[in-house]
Amino acid sequence: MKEPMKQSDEATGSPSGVSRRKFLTYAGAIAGAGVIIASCHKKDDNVVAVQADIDLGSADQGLLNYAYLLQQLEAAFYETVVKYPYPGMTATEVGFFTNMRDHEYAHREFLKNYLTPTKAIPMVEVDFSSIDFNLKSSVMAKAKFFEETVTNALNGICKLLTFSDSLVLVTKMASVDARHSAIINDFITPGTFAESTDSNGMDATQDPQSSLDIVRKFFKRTISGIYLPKY
Amino acid sequence: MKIKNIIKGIENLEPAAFEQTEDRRSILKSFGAKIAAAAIPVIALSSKKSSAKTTDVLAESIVFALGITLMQEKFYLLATTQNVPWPPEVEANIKKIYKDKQAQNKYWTDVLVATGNTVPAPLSYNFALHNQLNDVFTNYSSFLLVAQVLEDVGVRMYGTAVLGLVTNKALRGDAINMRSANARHAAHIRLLRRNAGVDMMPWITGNNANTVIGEVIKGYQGEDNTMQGIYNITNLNGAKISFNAATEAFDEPMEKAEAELFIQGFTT
Repeated sequence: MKEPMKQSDEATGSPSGVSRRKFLTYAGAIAGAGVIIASCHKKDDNVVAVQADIDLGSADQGLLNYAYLLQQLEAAFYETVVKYPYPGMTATEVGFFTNMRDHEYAHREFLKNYLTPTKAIPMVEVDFSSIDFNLKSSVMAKAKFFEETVTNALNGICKLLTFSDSLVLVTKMASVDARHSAIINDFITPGTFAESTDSNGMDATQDPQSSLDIVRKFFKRTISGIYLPKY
Repeated sequence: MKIKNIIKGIENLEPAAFEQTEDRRSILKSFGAKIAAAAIPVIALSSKKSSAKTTDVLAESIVFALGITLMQEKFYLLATTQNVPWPPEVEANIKKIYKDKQAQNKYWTDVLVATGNTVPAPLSYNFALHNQLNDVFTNYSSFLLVAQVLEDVGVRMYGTAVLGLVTNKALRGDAINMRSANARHAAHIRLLRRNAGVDMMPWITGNNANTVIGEVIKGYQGEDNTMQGIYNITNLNGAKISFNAATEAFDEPMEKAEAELFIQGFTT
């Protein structure tokens, strides 16, 4: 299947009515166009070009990008929960979910700016096909899963960051996600707010590689974290 | 006990990593500490003497963390032994929090002992806040108010402790995980207080202490910050982020001077 015009739309933003010849003229004039033209000869080229892998990067930048990815996930989740409330969602529940959504917006937008446009990964489309937003138990279970996963991941990221300013900023966000996690736990089973703390009174933590493995399936693009720092 | 891991962490501390800490100077400044040339006597326990390059900033940060955790433990000890009239279903949850505090204090105390540092002497606390809250252990609402501020300040002081432990990955990780546990405790206490009729959420809105008592208000100074780095979080990038949300989304660290003032209000 060849869809050169679709590809040209993506690459140049030209209207779809433009002729192939004109496209080639256009393309010849822009930098890097050789790549686009070459790719037009391949099959399934649009898939390759549009669905490229995202690499989070290395060192602190990679860790911050991973935090950014996680906040994108949480923000998208609560946004959907509030937009499509399950039947019987109480006003109190709406209030809590809306607050949490807005905190995740704050985390997401802050990290996006802090990383700067050249270093931040793009917004990644989420895949929530495994979540039934019409069912309270499904929403609560996923909220618990996301909050625990993100709390543990942020704790892990904080352990690895080398630049103190970044450490402080992520630390400030990590405890707010821990607050969310505690409350969601209490909503599901009262008294389980700190079920994850160990015999030293410490909360759980997870290294970026293994936590990325369990959130990957919630994104429509493939995410690579192979260069992320390790414990 | 994780002492073995700690020692391992200290051994693994690369001198280069220590130097990578760009604002080491500001860490020292924030603790008012002198640069100590002498390593803490952990060397005696370590086979790699040359790599055990630490300053007393690490020990000072642990003592700083203990400053709030010891106070919390004492508070819950008194609460659980003086039979605060809380609803029966709350009892186990308070005891769980108390148990976590005991464990944290034991952990840090063991670290200080193992590294040859002085364990801070216990302070004499006044949870009645100098006769402003004499029913702190006989009235559920008063108990929750004090618990709330001790937990929130715990999160805040550990933010500073984490930064002070930045050069030691193992100890830093421990402080981060305790801070996270503290945030869980704080959220739960706040939920209890909300359920008891106070209009509040499990996160800190602005610098609202949800009380008029000055000693408690001191625990929230600076919590209304909306600037993170160089960015104002309110409506950042056009996203729908209110002032309240902007302040709630970040738990601000509490530095030494503020922390000392706060603790003074709770001591005799």
